[in-house]
Amino acid sequence: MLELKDVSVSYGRIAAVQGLSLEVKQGEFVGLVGHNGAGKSTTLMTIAGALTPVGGDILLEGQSIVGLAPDEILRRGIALVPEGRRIFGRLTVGENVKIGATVRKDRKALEEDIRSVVERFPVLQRYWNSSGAKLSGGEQQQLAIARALVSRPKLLLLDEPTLGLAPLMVDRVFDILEQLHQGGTTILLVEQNAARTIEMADRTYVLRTGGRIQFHGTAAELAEIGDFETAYIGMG
Amino acid sequence: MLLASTSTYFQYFADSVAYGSLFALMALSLSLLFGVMGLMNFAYGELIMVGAYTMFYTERYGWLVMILATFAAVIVFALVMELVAFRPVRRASPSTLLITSFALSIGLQKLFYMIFPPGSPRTVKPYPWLTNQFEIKGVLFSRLEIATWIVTILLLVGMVLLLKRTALGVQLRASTEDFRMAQLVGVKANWVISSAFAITGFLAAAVTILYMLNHGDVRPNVGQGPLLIAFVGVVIGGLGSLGGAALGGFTLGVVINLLSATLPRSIQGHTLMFAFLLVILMLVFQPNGLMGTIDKLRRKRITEEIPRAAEEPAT
Amino acid sequence: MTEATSAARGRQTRLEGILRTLWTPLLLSAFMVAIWLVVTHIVDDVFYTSEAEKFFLRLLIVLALQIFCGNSGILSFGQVAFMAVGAYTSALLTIPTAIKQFTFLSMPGTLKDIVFPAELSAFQGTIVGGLAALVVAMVFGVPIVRLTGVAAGIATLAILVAMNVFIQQTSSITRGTSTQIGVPQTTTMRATVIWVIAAIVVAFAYQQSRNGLRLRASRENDRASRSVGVSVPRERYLAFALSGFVCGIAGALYGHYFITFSYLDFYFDLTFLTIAMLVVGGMGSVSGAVVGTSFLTVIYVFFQRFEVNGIGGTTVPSGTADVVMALALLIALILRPKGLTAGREIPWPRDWRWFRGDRRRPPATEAPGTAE
Repeated sequence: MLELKDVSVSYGRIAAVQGLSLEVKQGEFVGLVGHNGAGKSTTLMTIAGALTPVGGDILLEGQSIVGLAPDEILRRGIALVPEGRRIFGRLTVGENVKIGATVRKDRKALEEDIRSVVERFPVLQRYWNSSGAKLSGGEQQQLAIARALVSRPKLLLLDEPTLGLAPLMVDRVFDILEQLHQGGTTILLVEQNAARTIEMADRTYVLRTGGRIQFHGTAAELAEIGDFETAYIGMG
Repeated sequence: MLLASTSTYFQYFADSVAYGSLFALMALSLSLLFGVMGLMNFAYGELIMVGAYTMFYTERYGWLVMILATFAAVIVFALVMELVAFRPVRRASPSTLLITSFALSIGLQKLFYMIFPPGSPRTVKPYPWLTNQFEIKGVLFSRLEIATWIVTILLLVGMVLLLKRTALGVQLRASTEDFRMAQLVGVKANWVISSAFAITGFLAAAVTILYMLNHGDVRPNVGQGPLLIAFVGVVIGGLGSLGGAALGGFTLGVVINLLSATLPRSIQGHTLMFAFLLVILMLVFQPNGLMGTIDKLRRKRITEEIPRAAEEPAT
Repeated sequence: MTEATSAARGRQTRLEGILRTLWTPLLLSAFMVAIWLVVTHIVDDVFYTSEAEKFFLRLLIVLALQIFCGNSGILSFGQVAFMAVGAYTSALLTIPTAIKQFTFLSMPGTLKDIVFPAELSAFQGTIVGGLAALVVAMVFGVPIVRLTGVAAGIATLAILVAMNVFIQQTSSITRGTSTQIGVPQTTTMRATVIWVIAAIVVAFAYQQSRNGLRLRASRENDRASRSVGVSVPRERYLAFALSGFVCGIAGALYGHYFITFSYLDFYFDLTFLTIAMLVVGGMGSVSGAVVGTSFLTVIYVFFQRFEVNGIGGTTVPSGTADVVMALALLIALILRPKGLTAGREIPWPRDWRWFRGDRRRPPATEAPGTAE
């Protein structure tokens, strides 16, 4: 469904990602891990349209989405849960959820979706009219995911959703992701927590500096690479 | 001064509120653009200039036509300004945007010097019905002052309703907080920015009418005064906060008026100077202005998340 | 290659190296002298003499702007305020005592005792003007250097406005909104040119110095340079103070040329003009300051003539020249924000591509100009 072909992204003169190629098939749960600075976030931001690649192409269902505005990319079905959650503190929880649906025109179906999202994350109902800034980290993470879900995305991108969360919340987040996956949502997950990601994902790409793929495969395949642990830690 | 009568206090109060509301309106209309684009728009002063000239040339057709024409002219001008001057440089750094708005501001002023040579003085005729003062219990009012309060309150309420109750408002608030993220949830950049300019135009038109009915003189640099006041108001209130700007503008108006009334004559004229020096201090010590202080006092929950990662993602 | 030949090559490169470094200030200085000679000896027209003087004075301000803004990447609207300090201070101390006693009747006593008897020479007045501006810049510099981007822009704008209000209101020492009386007209073009050349040398020396280098490093990447121990505020402060001093000198010279100056001379119009000249030329280099000022001056004067004298019988409305300046700046910002020189200095002729024939780039003082 999503294909990156030889994508390169630069910050000024610094090449953050060089010639990265990967793909995510419909219904898959794909992981993207690697140490800090490897280019994982940059990759997600580029897919979502916040950054423009200097080279290569990104195809969604066969059509190139490079150069499209972020809102257009969202319209086409890619939603991003960004690093640090970035929920709108000046908006209420309810407004945060609803703003995620800016691109949707179908009122009735939207109401349904909002209802089901609130069911999934009951804490949101409790704080519906409070400012988004009042939520805890874990709650904000749920809000950020809810916000992305109400746009009925075909592909959900998540950038380090467990960063800074207490272990219990980390479990909760992974549970949610698993549920979504079971429900058929296609997921591309960037995570620091490599072990759990590899375990849960259908396939995982391991990146090193410059967005270069070090390893790639299913949990079983990666386990077979004997040196994997040391290599991974050694890269960090 | 301390022993002045109650009615004098009320007079100060009434005058301060009138000043303050006008300044609040100016600051509010300026801060919307700052929030959405990161743009401190010097050319805001020229919105007022355009409005003033429109008023001058349309007042012969009656006050209703004058008011409608002024609103129309200023709003259209604001939208054109966005399209022609700011859209091409939208992705530039804040510094570049600042110089651009500066260049635009001066350029427009000089253009008007060119088109409307200063030969004959142009003034907007005062409407005696509005500016004549009448007395209530020893305090002097003018209908224009009252009109200013009412209009300001109405517009403020209107802005609040717009921001809190409409979809556009939610999008504007989200954009002023985190423009990039707003785009990522589907907010259309062009639409939001154009709307912000149109709203700014609307508010600027209101400011112009209220201001010009009081001041009269139509010159190319007529907008400079209100602009500087709006700047100070926005900074005092806190860059990036809409409510803060209104509050900052209001506070500034009140403070200036009170100082003018109470300071010894020798340093009275320096009030504005102190205001600008205050701007510098606020920028260094309290860039979030009054609103920032209020926010800090309100903060209750301690979130468990680590400080949000800097703009450039580490991975 | 034998040892002898390589040693000879080494010597040659060292000499060349020195020439390379001095080339830019030398070239620019020669250009200044050339203009001066042409205007005073070849073109004997009062109009052009006056315009040339204005050119040199504006160039001083643009150079001052370049010293701070070009190296720090921070835009400042306030330099003209320091120019005002220089102008007023040196005027106060050089106006003949007899005149001062009548024109400054309300000056406070303590100040009177210092100011009235003072009748400094032109040079002394200029220096004192520069020093006064330096002091004021040092005071304002303390908060300013902690700010960047828009905040710095607003803060420096506040300096400009505050100074303007101060001049207007403190009429006991500035004559308020009235013009000055009795300022001796001591500025000669020769003196101005010498100061301009000095400023070019200083700007260039600063740029090449360790301080300049560190400041430019912070412009590129604030966090990185701080992490290697560069005290960014301190480097900015030095540049700001230096910039203020040059502005003060310019102000003093200005005051003693346009002897009936007033508060209006040191406000938005001049600020706009000088910023435009710097941005169009290229903020990142001293050459940019000179190129921009020269380029826009030519256009400005041309259109001013067009307004007044007309060409082929037609004139343009008064004010056209200013509008053209604004257009030039806007076009530059949209199409070429780094300026005509793109932030580079004028390269050593040997490095000019068409001499070399190959594609080797000359060493440049890299500067993304207005990038943050």
